[in-house]
Amino acid sequence: MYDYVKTTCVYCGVGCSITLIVDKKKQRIVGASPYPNSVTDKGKLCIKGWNVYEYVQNKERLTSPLVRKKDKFEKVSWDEALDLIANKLTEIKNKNGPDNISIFGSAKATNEDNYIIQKWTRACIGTNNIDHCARLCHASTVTGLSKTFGSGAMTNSIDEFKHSEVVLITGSNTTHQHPILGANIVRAIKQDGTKLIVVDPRTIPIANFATIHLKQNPGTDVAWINGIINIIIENQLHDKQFIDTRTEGFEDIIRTVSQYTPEYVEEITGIPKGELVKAAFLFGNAKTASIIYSMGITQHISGTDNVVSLANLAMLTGNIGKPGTGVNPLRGQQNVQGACDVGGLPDVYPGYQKVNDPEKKEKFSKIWKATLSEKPGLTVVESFHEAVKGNVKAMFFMGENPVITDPNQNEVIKGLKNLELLVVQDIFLTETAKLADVVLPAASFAERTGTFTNTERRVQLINPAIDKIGDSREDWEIICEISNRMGYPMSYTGPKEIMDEIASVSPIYGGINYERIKDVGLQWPCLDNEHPGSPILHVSSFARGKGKFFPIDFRKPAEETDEEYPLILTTGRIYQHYHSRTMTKRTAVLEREEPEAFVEIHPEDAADLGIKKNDYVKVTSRRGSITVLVRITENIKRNTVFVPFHYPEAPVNRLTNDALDPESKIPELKVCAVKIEKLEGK
Amino acid sequence: MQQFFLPTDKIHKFLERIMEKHEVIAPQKYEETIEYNALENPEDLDMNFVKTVNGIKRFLFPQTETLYSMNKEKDKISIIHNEEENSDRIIFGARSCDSYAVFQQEMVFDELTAPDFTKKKKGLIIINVNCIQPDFNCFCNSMGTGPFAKEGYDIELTPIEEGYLFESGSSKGNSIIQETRDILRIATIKEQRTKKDLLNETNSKFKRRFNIDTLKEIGDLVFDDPEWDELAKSCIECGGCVFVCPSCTCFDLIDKEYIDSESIEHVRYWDACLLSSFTRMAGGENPRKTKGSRYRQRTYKKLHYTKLWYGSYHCVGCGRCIAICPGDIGIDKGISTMIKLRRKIQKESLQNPGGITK
Repeated sequence: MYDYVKTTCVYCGVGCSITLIVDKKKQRIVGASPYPNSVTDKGKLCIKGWNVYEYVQNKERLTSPLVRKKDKFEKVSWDEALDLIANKLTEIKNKNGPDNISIFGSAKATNEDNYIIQKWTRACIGTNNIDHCARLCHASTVTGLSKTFGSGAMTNSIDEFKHSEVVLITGSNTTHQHPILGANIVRAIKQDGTKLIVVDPRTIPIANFATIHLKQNPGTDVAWINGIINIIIENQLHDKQFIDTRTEGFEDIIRTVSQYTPEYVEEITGIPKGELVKAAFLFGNAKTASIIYSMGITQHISGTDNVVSLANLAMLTGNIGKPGTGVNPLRGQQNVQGACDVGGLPDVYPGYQKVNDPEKKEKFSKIWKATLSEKPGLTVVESFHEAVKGNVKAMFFMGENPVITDPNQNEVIKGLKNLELLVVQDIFLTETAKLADVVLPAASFAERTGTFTNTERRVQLINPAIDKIGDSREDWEIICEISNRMGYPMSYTGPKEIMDEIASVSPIYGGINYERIKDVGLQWPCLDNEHPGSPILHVSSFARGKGKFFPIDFRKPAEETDEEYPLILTTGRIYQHYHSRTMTKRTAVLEREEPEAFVEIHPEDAADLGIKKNDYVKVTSRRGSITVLVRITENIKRNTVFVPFHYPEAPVNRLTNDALDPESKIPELKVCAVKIEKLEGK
Repeated sequence: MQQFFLPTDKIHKFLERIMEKHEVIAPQKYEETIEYNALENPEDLDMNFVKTVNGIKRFLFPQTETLYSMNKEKDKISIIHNEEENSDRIIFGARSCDSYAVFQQEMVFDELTAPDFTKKKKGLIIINVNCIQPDFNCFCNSMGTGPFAKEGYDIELTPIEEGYLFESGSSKGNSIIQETRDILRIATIKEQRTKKDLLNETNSKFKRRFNIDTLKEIGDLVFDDPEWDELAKSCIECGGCVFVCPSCTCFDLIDKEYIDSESIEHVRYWDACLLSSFTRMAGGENPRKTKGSRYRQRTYKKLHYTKLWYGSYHCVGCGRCIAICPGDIGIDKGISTMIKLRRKIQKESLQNPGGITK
């Protein structure tokens, strides 16, 4: 009567195991429940996990390829759609050059899909223009932690917070975005005496468990981190032995951080100096301290600087390489770690091997039997800018919805409309798909095999619960079909074989295969078939040898408030929804919980503007306006407002700034200047 | 009542026999764990568990169920009721807590609120296997629902050496004895006595114990205590406690379209009183605005209101919500809070007679 299918949740980076429950006779997924023996979630789920089954068999699933003919979509055969794509891409490649094509992998797709799409981009099309939404979340983590530690991933594991005397959370609404991991931290606080420091402009739920909550002005993170480093050094709380034996460059930062006195930090960040000192002592005195961060740190023009500053703080206090410590970027999507690992980035091959390293290029040319480009490709936002200029003529999206999720929506749409060919491969007709020339129906996570790599670098399997919907196909299959038509044959028996290829070309995945990861997965680096995986990175030495300190100075955000735009807008997600809501709006209980966009505003700001509960307001930045419902709350700092980015009806990314961090090219989604006007009669 | 014995080496034969006439649901291995499912081969039976994650709830009250389908033809709308459910079904190997919960759900659901439940329950035979190894979270003996079958079962099996003591608890149970009489033998006096010893022994194994006798009189004495908000701070509003609860009955209804059907389906799905929109009204007003008020509601519902309304606490002490709760505030914390607050109030009233107005 039922099939119970063990698989991995498709929402956040925690990667909880779930059981999908299938009505065998009807072939319908009728429920989901926790899987009790899971190592990541210990048999617990959040509300998204409990309801992850519901959107899968929604009526609006795409069932056949669509081609735009005279401004209308028409259902066509796979052959027609694939021929059209292959011919047009080949034409652009030959006429304008391969760098006129930009391809986007997806943090929602499997490792195998992402490996295949980057291989196709590089070996068949001949460009490194492959990127995905990791650019918008942790690009600055990869650049920041690569230069300090040599590896851009979460250093420690989900289950370690009970070993932390102190946890510092900044720019992560952990309880909402990584609920099960957030619950682990709360458990550590309640049961193991862990102390919590939260640095966030909003009173996020986990701040209710904090010993100290510092509310910084958005975009001033380098200042308070330097301030804490300065206090720790002045009071001799730094780990001199660790600094001497494991790191280099410490002397270089002393002069820089010494300028960040508590008084100066207060001036920049708005954090009372006494509170900063308390936080510094709490952190500096801890034997084990773990740093957790997310988009609040990374999505700034100083994103890399912020990450490097946190790395400086961890090295300064010797909090690297042992349980309960580390610099722990929480990856947002269930496979954003994996999509990066397998080469879904414009500057690296699978396993973070640089495309401009002649030796690596030679290696991959040989393996893939193709001529490869050594020129790093375009990043997400750069691609849109180039599309507006006419320098990118075709884009291919595998499961991303940039119209809603990328900054400066008007510019994104302008870019997309300027293309000669836009292909979107997805499970629903998203806002981006609606603009496409060709739409390809993909199979969902519940219909297929593959692997996701969670935030703690654990590679885990997904398993099919039902047959594929309509004529949908697995992402990697579709890409192989296009590649074959473009003259670069790719053929695999299935994802298992693709994973074997990933393991053979990427040393960090060297020992990973489907047999070994069947039960609880494996954490990379996993170098060979005997390697047990790596719960903690940089244990006896850093990936780059010695950890490197960099002196970082505070830089102001790209956009500041002024008389016309007096408020700071910051954006993010909420607990019940996921990104562009493609899946969660088709889940009854999630949609019922939060059916509408809102702007959070402090009561005093609301009073100044004459705004009351249930009013609608117009929020305007230098790039556009949206109309949105007011939510008055003391949980947000004065002069700061927050809007979640899930709602196409009030797309806050029409307002956000696409100014980029020069190193990582991450846009500054977390800070822009806005004004708010009350709408009469709405 | 005559007591029988089912020897271990005849279990497969017994299952084969009942599978001839009934659909049999029984615990079976799935990956590294155990879940109930339709039995295709008697050898798939696996009794090596205390309780499963999902229990037997999904066979009477599934997480999602189409109640009827609506089809539009020209100007007419036709309604087709979902009649597919097998109403002649045996659940083999249910635990006493889960059987008791069916008995409780039946008090809540009637033909109006859940006709499908009534129908499924009518034809259902539950063969309870008494529990002799409670786990860390179990407290059914405190709730009076176990560890041996109390209510909601038709046959009660007690595992003793070399087989099961086999007792009927209903006329449906008697009919199964008739169907399988040749496989069973009469239980010896010694086997019958063993049951009592085994029950005493099992009762001594519980790690969690609560004195719940006083809870039904608690009224609103402790209703407004700030402790509820403090406790519920770690609630992540997942709804898991309700979803795993074998006696919880909350649901919502939506009309929905599926990719594999031309109809609009009227679907019932599990809801949870821990979610803020559960009681939210038009205009955003919400009588249970805070997590504390919602957590308190669930605790009161289980340990106070249901006792008043139905005469039975609608918590069977299975402990699933304790294991599943990311915030570690399962019903155990609700019970101990109620007991603690009650003591506090008693103490205050002793120290300050007449000072309590409630």
